[in-house]
Amino acid sequence: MFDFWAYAFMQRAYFAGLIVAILCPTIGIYLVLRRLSMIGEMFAHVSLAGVALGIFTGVYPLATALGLSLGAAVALETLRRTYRVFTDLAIAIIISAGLSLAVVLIGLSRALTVDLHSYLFGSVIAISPQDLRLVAVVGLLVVIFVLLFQKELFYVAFDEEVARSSGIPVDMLNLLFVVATALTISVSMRVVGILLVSSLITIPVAAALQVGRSFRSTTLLAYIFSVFSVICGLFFSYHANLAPGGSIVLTAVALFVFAAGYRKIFAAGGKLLAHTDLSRRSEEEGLQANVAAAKDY
Amino acid sequence: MPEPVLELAKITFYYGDMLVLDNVSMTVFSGDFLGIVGPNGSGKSTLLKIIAGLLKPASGTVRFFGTERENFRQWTRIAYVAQNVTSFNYGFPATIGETVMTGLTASLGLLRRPGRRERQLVEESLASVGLASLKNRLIGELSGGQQQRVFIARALVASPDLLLLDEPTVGVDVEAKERFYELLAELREQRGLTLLMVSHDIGVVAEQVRSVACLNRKLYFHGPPAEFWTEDVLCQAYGSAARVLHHKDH
Repeated sequence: MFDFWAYAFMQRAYFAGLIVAILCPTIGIYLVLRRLSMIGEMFAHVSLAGVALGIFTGVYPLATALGLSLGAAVALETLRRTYRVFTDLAIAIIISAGLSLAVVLIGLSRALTVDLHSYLFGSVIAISPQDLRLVAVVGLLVVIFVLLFQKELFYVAFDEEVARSSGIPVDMLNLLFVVATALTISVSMRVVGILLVSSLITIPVAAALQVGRSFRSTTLLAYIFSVFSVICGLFFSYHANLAPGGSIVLTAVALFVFAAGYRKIFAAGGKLLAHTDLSRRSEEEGLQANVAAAKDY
Repeated sequence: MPEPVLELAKITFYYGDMLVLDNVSMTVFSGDFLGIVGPNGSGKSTLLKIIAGLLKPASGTVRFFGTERENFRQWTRIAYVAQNVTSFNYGFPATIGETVMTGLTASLGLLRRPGRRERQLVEESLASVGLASLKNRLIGELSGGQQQRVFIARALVASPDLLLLDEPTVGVDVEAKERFYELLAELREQRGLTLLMVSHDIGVVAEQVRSVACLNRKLYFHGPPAEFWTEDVLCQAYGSAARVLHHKDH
């Protein structure tokens, strides 16, 4: 059953998969909490254009995807300043630009379909040692960035205006964060595929939000769900010959359904508790008011 | 003579072409409790945002503790409590303790993580607003009045000298409102805080504060509440309808 470990490509798939599993919720938790989940989708579409450009020109596709994503990160910050009220409009514009560029490039070269397929759906056998090195280096950079600025990122996600008023360099932090997001998505798509990479960013976080009782526990749960999804997904992918992106994200969706169900049962109990708590408190307050009134007399 | 905490000189501000603040000057001294009142759209929140360093005036100067805004670096001496209804997301998975801890982000500085001393400060700050027992509850589970106390605790945790409050009692019931003003009075006494509060609720504000500033694009009045009622400023700042409103209150 565990014979897959004998294959070097499978080891690479697992190493790359685990790095991605850590990376996606690291970025995802802040994206989801700031209601910017669509940025994941945006960079996925831009990465598709980048991959198509790489295959078309014969350059290493992950490199072109990275380059184009960084360009999109800068474009996003510029557009956001122009359309302050409509951040989602800036995202929609870049999604359209990325996808249309990808369609044009794919149309131009008909020979690239096989290779492109592995980028669209993710691939276990296609991860080269070069890919793994890039995933590891980028992953390390992003994790270091988030660890260094964790409390600032949390503050800005929670309350950007008050964070800014206390002297936190919010604009600089936002730009760095968007760049880290671009990096994360470009390298993650090698494992999960372009079509599903933003799902791995958002779904483990969404599941964790159902059951987390603090920011700390929510983050921890998001990591657990994400790593579990990648390990199980790759396992199914190898044994049942499924596209890894699909089996990984299906596992994550299943976890989300469980978490939501758990919350429903638990929240019903929690509400009951809160209710009795509240009525007891108002009783106590009523009593204190009576005592106070009695003292007045 | 108390030290001036805040000096505004000839502040002008535009949103696009619209003049929002016209030549506003005032000085706030240490230990004061200033209520800024005015009708909707009078620029009072804008003025508070300028003071909080969120907006830059088109012209005029702002001095904090005697230092000009451009050279001022001690932002942790000023704490800003935004209108909670607008600035925060109720589903956010943060506990009360985690929320108050964010108030120490700037004073810790980049790259430093909170330790035992910081956790101690958070507990003390929560205790001072009477919420120590709720440290591990999620912020979204509290009532509006309790949330407001949490945001006050967050503002106080870094021991500021000047506290800025934007409509702090919006969406809070009458009883919680009263307790909130009691808390402010306590904090001012114990910590020697200078308070600046924006509110549309003239009647309540005039009862609580030590001085009133009446704003409607221009500054119409700045002085003790007693004089505020006797002079004809309400009429000027609010238009003739204010007179009716004033008489109804009494």
